[in-house]
Amino acid sequence: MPTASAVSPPTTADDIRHQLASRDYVADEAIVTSLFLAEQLDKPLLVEGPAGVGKTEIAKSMAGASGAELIRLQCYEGLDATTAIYEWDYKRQLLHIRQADPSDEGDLFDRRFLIERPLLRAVTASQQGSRPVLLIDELDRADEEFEAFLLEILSDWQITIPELGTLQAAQAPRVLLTSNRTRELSDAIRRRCLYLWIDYPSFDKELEIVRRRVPRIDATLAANVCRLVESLRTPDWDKVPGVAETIDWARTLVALQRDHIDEATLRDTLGVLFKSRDDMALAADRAAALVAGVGAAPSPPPPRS
Amino acid sequence: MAQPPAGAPYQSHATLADAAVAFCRLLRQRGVTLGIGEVTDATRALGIAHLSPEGHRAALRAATAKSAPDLATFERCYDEYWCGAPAPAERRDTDGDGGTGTALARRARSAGEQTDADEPAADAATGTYSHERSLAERNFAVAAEDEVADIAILLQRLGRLLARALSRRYRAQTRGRLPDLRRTMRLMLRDGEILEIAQRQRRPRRLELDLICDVSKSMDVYSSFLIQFMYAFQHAYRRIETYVFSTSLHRITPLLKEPALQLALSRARDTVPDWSGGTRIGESLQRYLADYGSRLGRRTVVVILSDGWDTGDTELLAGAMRSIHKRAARVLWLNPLLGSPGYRPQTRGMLAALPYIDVFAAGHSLDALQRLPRQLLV
Ligand SMILES: Nc1ncnc2c1ncn2[C@@H]1O[C@H](COP(=O)(O)OP(=O)(O)OP(=O)(O)O)[C@@H](O)[C@H]1O
Ligand SMILES: [Mg+2]
Repeated sequence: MPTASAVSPPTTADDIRHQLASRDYVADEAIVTSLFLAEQLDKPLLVEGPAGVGKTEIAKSMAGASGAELIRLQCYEGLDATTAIYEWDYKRQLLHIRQADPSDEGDLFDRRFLIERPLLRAVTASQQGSRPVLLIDELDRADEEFEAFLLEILSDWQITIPELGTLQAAQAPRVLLTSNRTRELSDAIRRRCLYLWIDYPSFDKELEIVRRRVPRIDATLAANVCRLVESLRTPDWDKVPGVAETIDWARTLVALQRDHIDEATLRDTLGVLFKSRDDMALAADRAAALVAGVGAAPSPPPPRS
Repeated sequence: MAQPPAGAPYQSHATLADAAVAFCRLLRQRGVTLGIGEVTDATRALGIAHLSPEGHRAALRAATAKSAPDLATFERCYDEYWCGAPAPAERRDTDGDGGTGTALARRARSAGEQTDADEPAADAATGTYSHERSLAERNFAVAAEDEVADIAILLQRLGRLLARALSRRYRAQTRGRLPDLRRTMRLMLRDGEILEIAQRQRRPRRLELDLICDVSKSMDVYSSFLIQFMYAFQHAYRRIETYVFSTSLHRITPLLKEPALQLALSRARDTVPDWSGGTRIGESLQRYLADYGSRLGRRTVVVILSDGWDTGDTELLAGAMRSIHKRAARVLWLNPLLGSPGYRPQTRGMLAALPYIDVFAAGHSLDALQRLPRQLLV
């Protein structure tokens, strides 16, 4: 009996709920159920949604909570199959050539010179008796060719290295894929997966996230932070602030020891919420209205003198 | 909110499967693409015990609604099927033409009626070249019935040629090489020394294209030609998404993948409920932004094919165009009316959109479409 992972895989939706909660990940019913169904049906889960709503964090939390290894394949344009599977350690091979008989090719492409990249790692981990979480992050950034290749891997879990032969996973890992929809993924990959859309959180959910992630924050301030960020989620901006920005902003306000949001505070901290110049300029213009809109300003201080 | 039937009567696998099949059929009728895999997963999702009402909905959603634009349809179907919400009234409208002949033939007929006497008719005796020449300049709107088939063939060819030209140009613009260490290593084994670093070709960075075609009533004489063009283009250029709109926007990329052109066209027409309907460009482009806006970026070129006759909210149109222009690499607007001498873009819609257009061109004839790659890349 393998002892590699001490924690047994979750068996009910409640287990998943508790696991996520233990990592301070705030999950609604749709998230919990989709993860649970993926587990039950043994299928990859494709998670889509705007930037910064907690797609990547799901995989991290799931792995962290269950004590499983997290294997992350970060996709980017031009990512090709081999880079995602393995690479040869050329430096060590070079050293080896210097020292050994250079005509011995078999030796040169020996397993000890092999650097495991995420997909190969997912296969070998399963051969070693553990069940990792494989996160294929931002698949939309990779090319269609890579997507097609991935589709094969996802169905066979078999990897061929010309110099070493074919490796077969003992069990498919738990797979999460994410996409920001900078391009539409193929129907083929969607078919292969279950699907979860995560939108910007409701006010209540975001408040819960802030209170979990920034425990020192004052309750009223947290609510005002969430209310103000919520009012920013309109099409006016180049980049709408996500949950990551809400959390950063809440942390900043706590660090600055502000107990309420006034216009000056908002202006001073705009850089935390927005990344583009245009957005910052527009937000600065609207600062007064934004603060007024959430009623976040404190009651006026008692007149002095 | 209404609840799914608690302790529902469908417990055996057969009844679960029946429920899954029936629900999936409803989704399909409303335009969600589903395969046998989705039906199987839905059946298994239904078989999971102890789901809360929310969980029941979420499980079915994860198994069947596989893309963001399908989600709203899913919620409506779920309410209807599992919670007994009233079905929405049938939306298929206006098009009384019961589908006699192909869309193209239909267009041909209406186009034929409008044929102007002052357009010189193609003379079969002048030979293929000049025949093609005159077809190339022919405004789609006044193409005669017997020219339509020829134009269709030329459109196909043009679409493919342009797509290839586009791929080639991009490769040429982005030539770059990376060292290929694996091959270098093998060469070393052979030669014992590093004499050359093997190179591998860097992948070309391609353009992403979004074609958005107006298929409202006023575009009738053009749209079937333009869709054929989009069809041919899409078959030869992969980084492309195609959409049509009249009162609402629909992504038809998967439909155009169908290898038989006529079938693709009639499918597209059947799936889009408001084909030849009114025009709400602003609302449609807002929909585009909401559902597909995440595609926009430094390498995305948006091509809108429309005459700019808008019966919707002009403010919305201006707002949508502003966003698209800001986020896309380039915005082209092909307005077939520009091909008519004396046309001035003075409709309210067109005026609202103009400030946010990089290239404003005609696209009313083969010749006009031929300029597209240059316009895309400049
Ligand atoms: N539901 C949640 N519970 C707790 N923290 C959350 C939640 N959602 C988001 N966060 C926090 O927000 C931040 C951003 O999340 P994450 O990086 O997972 O977003 P993403 O959707 O992957 O974004 P991107 O598309 O930019 O990669 C993380 O620091 C995460 O801790
Ligand atoms: Mg992420």
